[in-house]
Amino acid sequence: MKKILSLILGIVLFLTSVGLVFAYGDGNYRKGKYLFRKNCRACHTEAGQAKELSPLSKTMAEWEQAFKPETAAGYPCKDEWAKLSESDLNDIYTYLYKHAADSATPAKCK
Amino acid sequence: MGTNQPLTLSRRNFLKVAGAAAAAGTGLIRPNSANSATPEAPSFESKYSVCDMCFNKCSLIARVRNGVVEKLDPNPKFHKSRGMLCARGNAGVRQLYDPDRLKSPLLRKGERGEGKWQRLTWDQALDHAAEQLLKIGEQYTRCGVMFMAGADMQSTFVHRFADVYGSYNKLSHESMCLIAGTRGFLDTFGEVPIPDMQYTKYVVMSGANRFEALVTPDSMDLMKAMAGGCKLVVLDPRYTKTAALAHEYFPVRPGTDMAVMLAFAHVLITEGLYDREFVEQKCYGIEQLAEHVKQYSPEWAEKECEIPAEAIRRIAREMAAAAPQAMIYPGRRSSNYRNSTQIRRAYAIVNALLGNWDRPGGLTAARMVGLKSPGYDAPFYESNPFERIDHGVAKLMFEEEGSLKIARDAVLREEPYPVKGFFTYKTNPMQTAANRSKTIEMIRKLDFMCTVDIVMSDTAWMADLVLPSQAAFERTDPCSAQQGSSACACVVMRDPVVSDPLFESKPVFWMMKELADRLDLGEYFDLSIEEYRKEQLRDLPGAMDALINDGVYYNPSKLYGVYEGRIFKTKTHKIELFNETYQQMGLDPLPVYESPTAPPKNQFRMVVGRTATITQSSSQNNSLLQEFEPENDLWIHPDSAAALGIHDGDPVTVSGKVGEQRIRARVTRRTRPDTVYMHTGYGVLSKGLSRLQGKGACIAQVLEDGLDEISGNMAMHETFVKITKEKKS
Amino acid sequence: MKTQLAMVIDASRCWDCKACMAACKTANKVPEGQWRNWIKSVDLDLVEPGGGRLIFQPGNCMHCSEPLCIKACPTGATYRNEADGTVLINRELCIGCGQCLPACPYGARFRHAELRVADKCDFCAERRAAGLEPACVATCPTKARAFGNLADPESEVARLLKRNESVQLVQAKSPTDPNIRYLGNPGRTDWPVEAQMPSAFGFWKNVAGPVVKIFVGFSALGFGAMLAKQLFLPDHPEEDRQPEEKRHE
Repeated sequence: MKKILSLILGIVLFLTSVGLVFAYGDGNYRKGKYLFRKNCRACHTEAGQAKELSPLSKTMAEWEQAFKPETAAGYPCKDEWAKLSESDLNDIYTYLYKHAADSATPAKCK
Repeated sequence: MGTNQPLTLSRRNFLKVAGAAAAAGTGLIRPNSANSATPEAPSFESKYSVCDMCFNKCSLIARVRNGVVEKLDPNPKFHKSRGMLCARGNAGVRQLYDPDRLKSPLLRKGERGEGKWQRLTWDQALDHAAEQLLKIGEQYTRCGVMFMAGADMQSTFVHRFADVYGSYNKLSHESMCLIAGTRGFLDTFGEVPIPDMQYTKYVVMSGANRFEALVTPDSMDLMKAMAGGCKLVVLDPRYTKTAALAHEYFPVRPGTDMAVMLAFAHVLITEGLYDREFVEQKCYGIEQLAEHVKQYSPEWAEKECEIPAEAIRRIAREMAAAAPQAMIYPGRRSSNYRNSTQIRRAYAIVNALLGNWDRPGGLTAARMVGLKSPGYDAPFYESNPFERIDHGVAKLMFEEEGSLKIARDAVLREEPYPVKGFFTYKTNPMQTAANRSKTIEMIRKLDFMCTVDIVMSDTAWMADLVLPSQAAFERTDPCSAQQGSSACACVVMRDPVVSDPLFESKPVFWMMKELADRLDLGEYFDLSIEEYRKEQLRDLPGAMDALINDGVYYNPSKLYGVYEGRIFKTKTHKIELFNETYQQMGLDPLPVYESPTAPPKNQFRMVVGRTATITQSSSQNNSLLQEFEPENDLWIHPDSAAALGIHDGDPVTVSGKVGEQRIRARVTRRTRPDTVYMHTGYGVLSKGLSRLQGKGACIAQVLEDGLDEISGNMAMHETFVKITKEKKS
Repeated sequence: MKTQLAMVIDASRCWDCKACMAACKTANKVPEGQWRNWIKSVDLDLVEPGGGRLIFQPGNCMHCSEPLCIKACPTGATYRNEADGTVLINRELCIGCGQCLPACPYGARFRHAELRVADKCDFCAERRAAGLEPACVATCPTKARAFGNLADPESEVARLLKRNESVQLVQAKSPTDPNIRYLGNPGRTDWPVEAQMPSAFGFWKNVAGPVVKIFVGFSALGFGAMLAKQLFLPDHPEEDRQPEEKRHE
C-alpha cells in the first residue's frame, strides 16, 4: 500500500514538474527524436499496437494538450511514461512540438 | 566541307560508283528502278529507365543494341513529362559513355586543385575514407563532417549514412535553389503548392523561365493551356524564350517583383476584386493586408518596377476575371535577393486573394502518392554539439536542407565549432555556389574531403579522395515519388539498362554500405535496394507490376478539394496573409517593400539563369549538348555596350567585389541596360572535363554570396559588376 | 491515293528547346557540327523585346513531291521511295559530288563528314521499320510535330489538316511541293533561299562559298540559321535584321 501510494505521489509530482518543464519546450529535439523512436515508436507505428504517431500527427496545441499531466495520466502507456526522465520527456516534447503539423517545420518521423 | 573544287571523282568514290553499278547490273541493288526501299528493322531491346540529366526524373525507354544504349526515347505512358524527352534527356547517352568518366578511386597527391592523383583500389580508398571519418569524429565530434548530396535517387543513402555516422550537418542543393520560395509559400499556405498549369487561364510569371528551365509537367502544360487560350504575362529583366513566347512581356527592374505583387494586391482589394468568400472562410489577416497595401498603388509600383501603372491595374483585373483559374506562378529557383522569402510570400498572398487554392487551374495541394520512406533508428551521440553548424543565422532554415552559404562561413570561422570533413555526392558547389574563392578557401580549411561523382567536376577537382559513381543507367535505384498536380501523382524507379558498369564505378549506396561496415555501423545498411523498394511500396499493391510493365505507377489520389473539411497546416489553421509567427520572431508579418539599390554608375547587376540545354553545371561537358552552348558569353545591352565602347564578341573583364573573369561580350537587346547575364557552369578549373578547357567564364567566381535571412537561401542577384573592354591580343 | 508520309508542325507550340535536334542526332548518328533538322527564328538578340509572341519554326527535309535534289543528282543516288513518298539517298550510289546540296532550297542536305556522302532527314527510316515514330516527333516536349500518311484520312496528320488551316514553306522561284505542312502561323512562309541547279554556269564559283557558310550557320543553330539565310541573300543583307517585319502575332 505504501508502495502504491508513493508511486502515485511520485507520478503526480513527476507529471507536475514535467508540466512545468514542458511549458518551455526547450529540450534537445534531436535527442527527442532519438528517444521518441526508441521509446514510443515501438507501438506508435503503422503496424504497431498503438496509433501511428509522427510530429505532424498533431498540431502544436494538440501536442501541448497531449503532454499535460492529466492527459498523460490517462494513457495506456502511462507506466512507460513514468520510466522516462523529465529531461527525456522534455526532449521528446520539444521534438514533437517543433515539427507539429502547424509548426514552421512540419515533419514526419520516418 | 571541301566543295570549292572542280568536280572530280576520287578513286575511292569511283570504285564505289563502279561497284554499285555492277551490283545494280546484277540486280542486287536497284533502288531507282524499284523506287522502293525499306531498311531492315533494328533489333532493339527496349528497357524502361529514368532520366538523370536534371532533377525532373522523366521516365524513358532505352533502346539497347548488343548491350549498348543507342537511343533514349520518352516513355509515352509517363504523364508527368507528357511523354517527352528534352535535349538533355536525349544527350543522356553521351553522359553514360562520356570518355571523361572517372575510372577508379583517386587520391590527391599534390596540392588541392593541382590535379596530381594516385590511383587506389576500392579497398584502399574506403579504408582511407573510414579512417579519416573516424579521426575527424574523434577529434571534432561526428558533426565535424559535413555531408552534401545533390538531387539523386540514391542521395537518401548519403543522408542515412550521415545520420548514423552522427552528423546533422547535412546539406542539399536547395539552399542555392528554391528554399526561399518553399519558405514563402509554406508560411502562407502551410504547404508548398503544386501549380495546375493544364487548366489555368491566366498566368503571371515573374522570376521564372518555364520554357527554358523545363519543369515537368508545368512547362508542357502551360504551352498546352496557352494553345487553349490561357494568357501568359512574363516579368523578367532578361528577354528569355519564355518572354518571347508570352502574350505580354515586361522587362521588370531586377529585385522589384514584390512591388508588382503588392500593387496587384492593392488593386484586388481596393477594387473589391478578390475572392471574398474564399478569403473570409480560409484566410487570416485580410484587414491587416488591406491596410498594409493601401500604400502600394500601381502608380507607386510603376516607379519601382518600371511597369506602367495602367498595365499593373489591367493585369490585376484580368487575373481576377479569370480567377480561380489564374495564378502568380510560384516558380522554383528563388535564390535571388536578401528578401526572397518575403518576395515569394507576396506571390503567395496574391494567389490567396485569387482564391485559386485547391481548385482546377490554380495551386493544388500535394497529392497522396503512398510511397513509404523506410526509417531507421539512428544512434544518438552525446558528445555532439547541440545544433547544426549553420543554426541560428537564418530564422527559418530548413533543418533537412541547411544553408550552404551559412555553413561555408561557419567552416571558415570555425564557429560555432570546427568542421574538418566534407563528403559530397553528385553536387558541384564549386560551380553552383556564389563566390567560388570562398568555396576554395573553405575547402582549404578541411582535413579531408571526399567527392563521389561520375566525372571530375570542379568540386571533385578540389577533393582529397574522388570516388567514381555509376551512371544512372548502370544502377538499381530506389523508387521515387513525384507530384504533378492534374498530370499525376506517381512513382518511378530505375533498374540497370546496361549490365556492365563502365570501369570501376560503383553506386554510392554500395560505398555507404562499405563505409558503414568499416565504422561498425553495418546494421543500418543491412539491406539491398530491392528490399528497400519493397518497403517503399508496402502500401501500394500492384505498383511494382505497373513499374515493370509501364515504367510508372500512378496513384489515382484526390486532386482538388483535398482541403475540404481540413485545417491549413499553419498556426492560425488558415491561409496566413498575415503571419503571426513572423511577427513573434521579429520578422515582417506582411511583406514590406524595400527598394533594391540601383547599380552604381557604370556598373551592372548580374543575374543568374538557365537554358533548356544546360543543367546547372553538370551538362556543359556533354559532347552533344555542348554543340548548343559551346561556351558562355556576357549578355550586355547595346546602349550599355556602346557607352563602354564594347562591340559584339569583344573580350571583356567582368569584375565585382569577390572576383573577376574574362569573357566575350554578346551585345543583345535581350537584357536590360542595367543588367548583365552569363550562363552558369563554364570557366572550369578541372582538367578532367576535356571539352570545357578554356571555354567561357565562371559566374560563381564573380557572384557575391548574399543571404536570404529568413530561409538561408543564397542570394545570387545581389552583385554589381564593372565591365571593361580588353585590348585585343 | 498512294502513301505519302508527311509531317505536320504547329510552330506556335515550339519553344526552341533543341530536343528534336538532339534526338535526331542520336537516332541517326549525325556527326558533330552537322544536323538533319533545325529550328529557325528571327534573331532574338536584335528584336525589340515585348512586341508580341515570337515564332520558332522547326524544320527538316520536306520530302517534297517535286524534289529538285533528285534532278540535281548525277548518279541517281537520290530518289523518291514510291512505297511511302519519302525522298531518300542511296549511300552506295552517292559519289559525294555535292550537287544536290544547293539544289535543295531548304538547305536540308549536307555532306556527311565521316561517310563523305550526301545526308539528310529520312523521316527516321530505321526507326519506322522498328515501328517507332521519327525521333523528333516522339521526343518533342510540346508535341508540336505530328507524323503519318497524308493519304490516310484516319491518320493524325490528315485529321490535323482537315481541322486546321495549314501552309507550306515555299520558295517562289523553286517550288517543290513540300510534305511538311505548318499549322496556323509558322512565322515566315516565303522561303528566301532559291535552289541552285548544277546546270548553271559558274555554279561552283557562286554557290560553294555560301554552301560552306550555310552549314556553318546551321551548326550554330537558331539565330545562326538566320545568319545563313542572310549569307544567301547578299542583295538584302538587312532583311532578316529588321525585327519589325518578322514579328508575328
